[in-house]
Amino acid sequence: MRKLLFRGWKWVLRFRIPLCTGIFFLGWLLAGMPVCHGQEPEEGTVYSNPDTGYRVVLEDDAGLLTKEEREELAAVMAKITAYGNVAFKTIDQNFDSTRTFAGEYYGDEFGRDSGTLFLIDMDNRNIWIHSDGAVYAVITKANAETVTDNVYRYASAADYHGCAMEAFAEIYALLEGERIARPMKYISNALLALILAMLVNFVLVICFTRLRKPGEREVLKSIHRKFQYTKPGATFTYQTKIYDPVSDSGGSSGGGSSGGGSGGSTGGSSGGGGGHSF
Amino acid sequence: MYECPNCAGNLKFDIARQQLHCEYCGTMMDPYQVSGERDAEEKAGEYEVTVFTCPQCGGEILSEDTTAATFCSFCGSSAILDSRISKGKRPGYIIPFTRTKEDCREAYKKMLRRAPFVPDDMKKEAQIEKFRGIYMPFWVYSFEKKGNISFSGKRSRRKGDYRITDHYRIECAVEAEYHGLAYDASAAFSDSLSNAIGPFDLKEGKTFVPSFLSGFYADTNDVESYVYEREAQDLVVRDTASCLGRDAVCRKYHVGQDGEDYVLKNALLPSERMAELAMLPVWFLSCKSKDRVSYAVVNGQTGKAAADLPVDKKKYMLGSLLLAVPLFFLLNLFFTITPAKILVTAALLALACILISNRQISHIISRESGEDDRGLASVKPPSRGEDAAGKRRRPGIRWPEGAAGKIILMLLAFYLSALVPGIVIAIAGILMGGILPSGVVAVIIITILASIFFVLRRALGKPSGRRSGSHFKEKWSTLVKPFGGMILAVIILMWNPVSDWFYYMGAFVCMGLVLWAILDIIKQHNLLTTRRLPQFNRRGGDLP
Repeated sequence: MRKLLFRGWKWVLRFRIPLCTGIFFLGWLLAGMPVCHGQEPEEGTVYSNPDTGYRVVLEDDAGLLTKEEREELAAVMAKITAYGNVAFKTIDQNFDSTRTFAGEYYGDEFGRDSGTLFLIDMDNRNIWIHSDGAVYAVITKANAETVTDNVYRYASAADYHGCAMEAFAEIYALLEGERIARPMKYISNALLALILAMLVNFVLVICFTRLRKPGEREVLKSIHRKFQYTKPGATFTYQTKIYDPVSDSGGSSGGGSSGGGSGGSTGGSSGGGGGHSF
Repeated sequence: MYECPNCAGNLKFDIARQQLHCEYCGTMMDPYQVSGERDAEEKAGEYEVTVFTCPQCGGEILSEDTTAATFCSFCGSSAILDSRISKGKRPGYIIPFTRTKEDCREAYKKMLRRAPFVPDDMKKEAQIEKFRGIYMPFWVYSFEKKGNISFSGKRSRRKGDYRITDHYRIECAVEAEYHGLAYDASAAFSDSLSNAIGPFDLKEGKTFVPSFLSGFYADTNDVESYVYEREAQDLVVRDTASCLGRDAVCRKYHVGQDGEDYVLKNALLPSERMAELAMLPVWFLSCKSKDRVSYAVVNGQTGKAAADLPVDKKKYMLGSLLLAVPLFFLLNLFFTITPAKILVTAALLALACILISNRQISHIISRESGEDDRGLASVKPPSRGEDAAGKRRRPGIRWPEGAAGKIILMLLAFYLSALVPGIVIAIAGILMGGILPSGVVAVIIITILASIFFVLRRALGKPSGRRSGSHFKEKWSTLVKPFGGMILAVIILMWNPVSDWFYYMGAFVCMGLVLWAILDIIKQHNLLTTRRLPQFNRRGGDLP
């Protein structure tokens, strides 16, 4: 045994430099990772994608989900971390609008990093999706509104777990480049297209078939027209004098220069989203 | 009928040669030479002509030809027209046809290319073949003003608290001559059509001799010369005042400025006015469809074409469906609409339909009553007892003048009452630092637009100057459809239900009503582009 330890120590001494270097780099790498297994994760973070570093944040402040439901939801949300951070938040007290809260919460949690947030605001009875960064390029305001339109019925039926599951599933489908159901959009657009087409055609009909009266110049050009006059002479006849004092309450005189144009962005979120009441 | 001196055949005016031509022996004759022989037998100021009367509408058409005409140009009916020899008022001069029937056909076909939805009947060769060369009577006005004129001018300056104005008398000698302002003198020929193919180049006019009519028809003049005299004179005065007003002296003394253009116009009123009857060439085609008729006309001198071009509903729907396909894809690419927004969009479309429809019905009422045609109005006073479709209303059920106004005020009150909660919610929203719900914004927008519409309608009234509410009864049955859609949209937006279904259903109902309203608009357009079958009561006719 002593022999074995001695050999081992000898081996360590022999490779001490590469070994120390390796340990140093391993420590550096581990220290650089946002969350290390075995370390205390950030509040609400239930998962961190080791490849992308994006996090899953799940904060059920309103207590709408059971533990099992949270775990199930986290698994669905984890898939989205391939594209950005993902958060699920429920609140039962909100002194702002749902939209304002969502924007501020997202900024606090992820800054301007890429990601998406699904918020259930029990105080305002609203659901809201807020996205930013690369994810916002896909989960646009329009898409966020479509997703919330598709899932608000679950929330209305108090199925908050189903609502969030479906919302994140649709968000993931959109990020994967798939399509989500939006039948009403197609029906509405079809009707709208038909009405617009009929109106456009009507305008064309009116423009092309209107009976136009020729202009005065055209009429005068077609007739025999002669108009001559001698140079007018002016003779003074009388003068009138009207009391008409200049008003003091005229416009303001001068004034300071207005400030320059607005500078660059002073921070704040560049993202946005959409929502639906339930 | 003018007989050929060689073969006794019928001499007809040949457009290409601008001479009378015998189609049997090829003899050519100068119209003045031929007429000279017959004129000696006729009384001054008159000429002998065959008058054809349509047994259907009573319309009259004149011809030098004694062979029976087989269709009426005014009502389009195919019937042997009754003929009689009569004396006609001899016009002062004539512009002979210079455009052949072939030119006319080409001009007409070229015009139809711009109207893809026109009914096939109007494009048929057999129909186009019915173009008939008619000399239309026109009043040609001449105005003169010669001599010294004087008018006032002024220059103002300020001195302390006083505005001092020096007044001047400005004098000059003018010599103004305007000859050849033409306005149609036939009530059967609508002003809109005669204006659309104008102007004629009156400088090409020739002294009238009846032989020019040979091979063509002529309409009778039944509109008095005074009808258009004021309009023609105003045009002349405007032009002379504009020329003189640009003079440096006139500008220096602010003549005709500050809304005092009447100063110059009064000074330039013509001293000599003359109206002379002239025959101007028009290729005329009527296309009858059930109880309506549409006209197509081509200027026989310049080749300018104009027509009443109704829309074939089937073609229009097909064209709209074809256009809707790319629009649908475009909307899907760039337009994701929320339920509230689709409802607002539908309501705004309904509002657009109300505006269009209202304007069209006003035009129809004006057209059918003859208000928009000075010539027709002068021979037939505008009938106040006819509805938009031209049908006579039963006397006694006319909507009271004031009632429509009251209804509009009630609607306005409804909208204003809708606006008040919207404003309250908006202020509360702003105070709480939030944003306005889209539904509230929509209600406010629609309410403001609708209020503006009704206020403007009430303030401006109809184009003819009569009270806006006076045709409420004719309009309501059409306007109620899009208006109902708009009301439904506003109610849903105010209710602001959670479920999208209410928005979608509301939007679809509103859109359905908008589609219905658009079909009404097309129907109205067809009423505007066709005319009631003429009924020349003064001349007979057996239409019911």
